[in-house]
Amino acid sequence: MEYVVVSYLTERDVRIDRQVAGKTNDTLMVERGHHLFDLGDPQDYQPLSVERNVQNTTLVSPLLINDFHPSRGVA
Amino acid sequence: MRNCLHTGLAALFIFVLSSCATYPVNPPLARYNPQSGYRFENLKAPGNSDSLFVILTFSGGGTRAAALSYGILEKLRNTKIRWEGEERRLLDEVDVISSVSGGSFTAAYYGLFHEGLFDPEKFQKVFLYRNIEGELVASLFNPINWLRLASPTFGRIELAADLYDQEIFREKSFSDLVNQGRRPFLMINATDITMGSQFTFAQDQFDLLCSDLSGVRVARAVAASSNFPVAFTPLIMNNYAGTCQYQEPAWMEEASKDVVANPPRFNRARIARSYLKSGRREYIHLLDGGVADNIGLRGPMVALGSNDLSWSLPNKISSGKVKKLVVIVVDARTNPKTEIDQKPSGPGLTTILEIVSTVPLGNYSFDTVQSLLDTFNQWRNDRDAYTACKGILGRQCPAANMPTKPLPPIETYGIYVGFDQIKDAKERDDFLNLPTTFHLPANDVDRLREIGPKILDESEDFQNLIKGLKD
Repeated sequence: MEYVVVSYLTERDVRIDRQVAGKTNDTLMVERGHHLFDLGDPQDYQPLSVERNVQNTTLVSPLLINDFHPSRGVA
Repeated sequence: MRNCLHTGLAALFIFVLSSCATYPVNPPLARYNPQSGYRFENLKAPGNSDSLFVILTFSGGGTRAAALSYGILEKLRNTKIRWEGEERRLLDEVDVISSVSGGSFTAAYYGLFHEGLFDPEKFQKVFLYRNIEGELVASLFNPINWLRLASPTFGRIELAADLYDQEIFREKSFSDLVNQGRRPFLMINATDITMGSQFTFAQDQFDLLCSDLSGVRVARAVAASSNFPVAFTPLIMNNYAGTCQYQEPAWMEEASKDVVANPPRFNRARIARSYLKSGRREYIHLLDGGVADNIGLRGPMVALGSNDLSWSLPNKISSGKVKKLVVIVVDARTNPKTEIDQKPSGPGLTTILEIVSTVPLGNYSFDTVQSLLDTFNQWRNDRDAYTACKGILGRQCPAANMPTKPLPPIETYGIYVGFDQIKDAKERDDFLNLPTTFHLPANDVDRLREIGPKILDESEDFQNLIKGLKD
């Protein structure tokens, strides 16, 4: 099992391969391999999704995904 | 002239009957809809919490397996627990039953008729204590069936499916399970003989075929699941891929890149895509689920280790929805004595056929159970490492915090019920030498119903689970 944290300014759903898998800023259990991460609707963030090959993580040092930020013009 | 007429009419009758005899075709799906059909997330759970998540797996092994799993369900029905402030039975907390072959009879009957399973006039009478094997053999001697079997699209398995449909499952189809809309979610498993992979009777699988599982009789799923190689012919499902506007789930494209990072996941995508190529695989041939996995654990293992399934356990655990996760593996595996190695001459063709059709069924069961226990151990070790690091950080640098949050707490219980665990050597030997058949003497069925609960009671993990569910 691999571990991922998707950071964001607020609490949002995190979707892995288009399925809700948990919340932003929480540690998520993720199967090893390639995955598509996004924050679901509303799509008021950029980028709309990121892809990562998740491997060699631990619960102490999970993969941090901090690419997501609010779209320009969204508070 | 009159004789000629009779002969002609008889020939016509035979021709018509054998031409008409064909397998019941699984219906096409008008339009793909990932929200409808027989799926875990469409089943409600009144009186069943998500926080205590219970998965049962029932192995193959004919009536022996059906009776062993029956005894386990009786035990769970009689086990009172207290969870989240409410009294209930452990049976009411069962969320998923994944079954193979003989175990599929018990699983499917419970899924369809719930408490009816325990009525002595019902399942016990129509299956458990009945000579189903004798009736299957008798049906082969019925001249009408000879004519039906003359059709190339009506195999021996269809006679079995008919019998199960009329006599055991009362013509119920998956639409009845959808309409009931309640757990447990049944995973009745067969084997796709071309891919050598598990074929589960759930809408997620039938989406790939653009077929509507709701129109399939439950008896056909059970027949496919218990379709013992050689004794029966493969059971056929039509594949209408490309006709229902099916959209691949996102995981499939991602998994197709995992040939190095995660070969099993890559293989799941490869198998799923094998159904999608329009015209390439128009008919899917199914054999006993035990050929791919004789304990029915591999399907749940995907849910335990992956985010790809709609009822992914990692997703439920990360979200804090599951607090206790219980997997009870009910394995009726035997180890019959053989005299092959007592003689220099090799075994005959019949014995070889028997070995070839049974040994692979049980070969990987130990590995699969070990994989379950390894998964749970890894989760525990990961959490222990986090706690240890947090302790060190707290001592060395009290002002600092761990950079990430811990996972929500989860307790796991992997419980194996198999004859190898019987302590008394003579009793163990008796059970390990029971035959695989659809007819056992009533006394053997009684003993099988009793031994499962006894093994569970002697399981330390089960006792710890129950202790934690009494407070």
